[in-house]
Amino acid sequence: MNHVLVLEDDDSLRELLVDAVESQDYEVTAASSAREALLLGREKEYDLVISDIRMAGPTDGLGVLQALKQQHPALACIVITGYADQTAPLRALQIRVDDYLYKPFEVHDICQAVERVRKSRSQRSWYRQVMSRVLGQVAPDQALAELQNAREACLKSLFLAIRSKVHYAETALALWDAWEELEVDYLKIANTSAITAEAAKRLLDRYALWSARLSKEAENKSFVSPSQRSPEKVDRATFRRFVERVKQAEVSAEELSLAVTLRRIPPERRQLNSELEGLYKRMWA
Amino acid sequence: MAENSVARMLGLVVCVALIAGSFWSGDRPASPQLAILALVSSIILELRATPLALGYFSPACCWAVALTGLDQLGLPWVLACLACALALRSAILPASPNGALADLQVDLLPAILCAVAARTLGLMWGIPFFWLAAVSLPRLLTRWMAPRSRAGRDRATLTLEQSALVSLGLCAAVLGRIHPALMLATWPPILGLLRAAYTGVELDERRAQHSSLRSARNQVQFQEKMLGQTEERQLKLQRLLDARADTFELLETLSAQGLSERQALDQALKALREKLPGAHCEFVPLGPSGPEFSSPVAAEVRIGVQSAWAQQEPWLRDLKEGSQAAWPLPHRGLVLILVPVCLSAELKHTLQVFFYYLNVMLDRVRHQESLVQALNIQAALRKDLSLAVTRLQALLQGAGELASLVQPREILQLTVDRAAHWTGRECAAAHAGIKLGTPPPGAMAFPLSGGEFTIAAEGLEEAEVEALRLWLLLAGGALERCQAQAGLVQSSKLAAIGQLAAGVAHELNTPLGSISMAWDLAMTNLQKNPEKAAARLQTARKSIEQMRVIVSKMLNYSRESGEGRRLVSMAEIIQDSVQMVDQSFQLEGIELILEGEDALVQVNAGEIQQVLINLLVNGRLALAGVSGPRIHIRTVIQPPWLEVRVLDNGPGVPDEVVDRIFDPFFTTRDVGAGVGLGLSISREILVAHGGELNYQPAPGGGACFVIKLPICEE
Repeated sequence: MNHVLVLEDDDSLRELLVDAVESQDYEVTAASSAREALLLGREKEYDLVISDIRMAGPTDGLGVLQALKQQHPALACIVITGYADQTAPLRALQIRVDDYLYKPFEVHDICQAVERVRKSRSQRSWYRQVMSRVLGQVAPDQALAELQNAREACLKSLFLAIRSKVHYAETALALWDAWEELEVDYLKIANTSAITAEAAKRLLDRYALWSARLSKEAENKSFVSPSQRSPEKVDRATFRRFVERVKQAEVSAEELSLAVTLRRIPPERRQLNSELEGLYKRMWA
Repeated sequence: MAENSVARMLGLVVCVALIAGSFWSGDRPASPQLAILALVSSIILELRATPLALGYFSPACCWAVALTGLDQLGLPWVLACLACALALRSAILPASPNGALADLQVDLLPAILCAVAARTLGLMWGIPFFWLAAVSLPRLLTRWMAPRSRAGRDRATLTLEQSALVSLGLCAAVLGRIHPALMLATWPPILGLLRAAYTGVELDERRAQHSSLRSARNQVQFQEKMLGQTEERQLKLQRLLDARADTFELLETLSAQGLSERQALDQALKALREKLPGAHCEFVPLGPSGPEFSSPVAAEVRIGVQSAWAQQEPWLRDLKEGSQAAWPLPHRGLVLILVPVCLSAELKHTLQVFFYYLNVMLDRVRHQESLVQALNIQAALRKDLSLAVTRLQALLQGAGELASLVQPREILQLTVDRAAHWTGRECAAAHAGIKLGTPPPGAMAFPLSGGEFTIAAEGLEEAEVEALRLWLLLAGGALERCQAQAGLVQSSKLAAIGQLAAGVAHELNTPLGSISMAWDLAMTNLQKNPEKAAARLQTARKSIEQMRVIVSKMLNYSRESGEGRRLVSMAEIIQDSVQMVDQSFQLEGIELILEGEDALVQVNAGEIQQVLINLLVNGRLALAGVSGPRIHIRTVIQPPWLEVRVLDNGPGVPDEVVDRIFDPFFTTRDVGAGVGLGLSISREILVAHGGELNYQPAPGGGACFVIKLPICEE
């Protein structure tokens, strides 16, 4: 992960972005228009694209990302934008970009975002290990890996949705409640030594439904009536703090998957391990 | 609908005429039972079948054929039965979108033709005619009268079914000749056929057609009504402005004529009588014990006039036979107006304006008069006046200068300078927080539009004092004008700031991002690579320039009102507004609840946001000290309106100020805490968008402000 493409039509900002990312020892190429970026993307395979959304030309930044992702599905993307455009976060969700930054941001923010994206793969495997330790799982099998992938993809879209502020707080809370219910089933399945294909399939379907709901809510932007809180659900203030942490990028997309597990496992189990307790405190306290 | 009532009236008149006709011609039904049977059967069949036929084919036709087969019934009675059934139908059931009148014609005309043909041609020979009149004629008529309804294009089987209905009518007629009661045997097939003919897809289509046509028509009517209202409002405003300008002009010319105070008042009353034809306008001078009437007046009027004088406020009474009003003219008396008609609100406003300016003018005339008097006295004493007159001229020339100034301080400065120069004495003035000079000891004070003007007046000539008074009156007028303008300027400025805030914030984000990054990079490079740091600062400089361009562009943009409207979702606006105040709400523990539907509106989002923020901030202030403070923002769609209700659980608006909260400069906050323009500007913004802003007390004692905006379909 060394080659970064920066696409930004504002001259000063582009120059600065290149400078900032270069200072992190990356090899950076700059493009000032969508056309240029598409040409560059054809010539060379990049690991990460940082792109503005609004720009003149045949397509905007998200269009470029979509085209590049079709060529290289593993390409990581960070979107930066200064406009509260309603459709942009939706499209970003569909394209599955990795991060969404609102201007103005500081050098620190963009460097962190790049770093997070770079580490995400290694982090993901680390978190999976932590999870399997927590759950006491035996060697991972095919069905479980598939479930884990789907689950992580869902949580990544939730992360992006929160980062791009596409949902109202109440909607995000409702989605989270639904996710916690799914998590109960996931934990049940993941704890059994042999996963039945039937149960895995059912859960996969429910994951698909959940992510359809997420994008639908983002599209409709309708108000949801405040949901009733009960003891097993996360309380409003805590969740607001949590969302704030995600918005500030103190909790990454990978950590989301741990966050939900840590909330659903019995506290005694969590408290046995000081590392887990520390993670829980950082995310939820 | 007017058309429906016309149709009903018409149906009723036709029925009554036919029934009366049938009795009058001596062609009575053979037995009352048979007559009642005919009438009731017609009515029942029509009412039962019409919802199925829906105005395009009338069962009246086939039943008319059936009834004419009975020899015991006269033709007028058959027609009367028909007309009764149709009239009752149009009164009970809703009309088709073609309108009740068209329905009645389509139903009545073929039926009458059929009945007449059956009686004159006989049943056998009339068959082809029945077929033409009952099946094709209604369709042709509908197509002709309502070309848009597509009613004429039916499937072929429908025509067959309608023909079958007519044949059933014929059967009924034949059976009726055997025994009238046997006719009823044909009812089950008739009703069955009707239902079969008009069920399924076609019926649904027609129903959809009906409702869409009806809603289209309602919409057009509504739009026309709205347009009419807006025009009316504009016209009214224009009339008010015109009246104001007229009054001003009239009184200006009067005061320029050099009349005495009494003459000027007479002239003004004359003008007032011209304005209010048939009115009795009278000046009631002031006596030692209050107003003195020259002619006897009613006791109530006397009491009203006295109270008007005591309170120095206009007195108005609207009676059935006309309006009575009295306007006080301070220091002089009152003007009593008795009008034979009720004064409209508009006219009352015009009168208010008239008397305001009249007072100003009379003051001016009085001062001029006393100045002339003083000068005359001095002339009689043979003093040398030439110096005083030249100075006076110089002073009064300053009046032109006063008019061109806009800053209160400048006006005050000019007032003091001129007066000091002219009298050669020390002067001081204080007005609305501005103080010029220090009042000399033993000075004489004069009022100056709510402020004070002081001068060491000892030894001043009478004429000089009068001239000074006149000068101060002019200066006071200029100051008042200034204040009014300052208010306007302030309000438009505030409105513009709100408009700008949202737009600029987004636009500025890119250069702001650059600056923030450039700053960081410059800081990190400062030690090891100063040149690079300098280059980064240069970049920041460029971005600042960029921001400047954007800001100036936005400023230009906001000067044109009505621009910048776009299609936005209300939820988005609400969310943005809430975000801006969220922090302070959280700090004070106020719960904000958003609920309801979303719709698109064509608005200047910044302006609407300004309105919402205004309401939210008002709500926050009202909720101070309330336990469990809560604000609901509820959106309700009531086509064609989108209503946003901002509801709090605070104490609500006190009854005594409810009428005034939308007035400019009205505020309940402490002096200096609020300008009192928020709600009036908010209302202006909504009116400019074709919407409304209203207040209503919320159930449970809180305040509820309702924003109404037209929903944009596309």
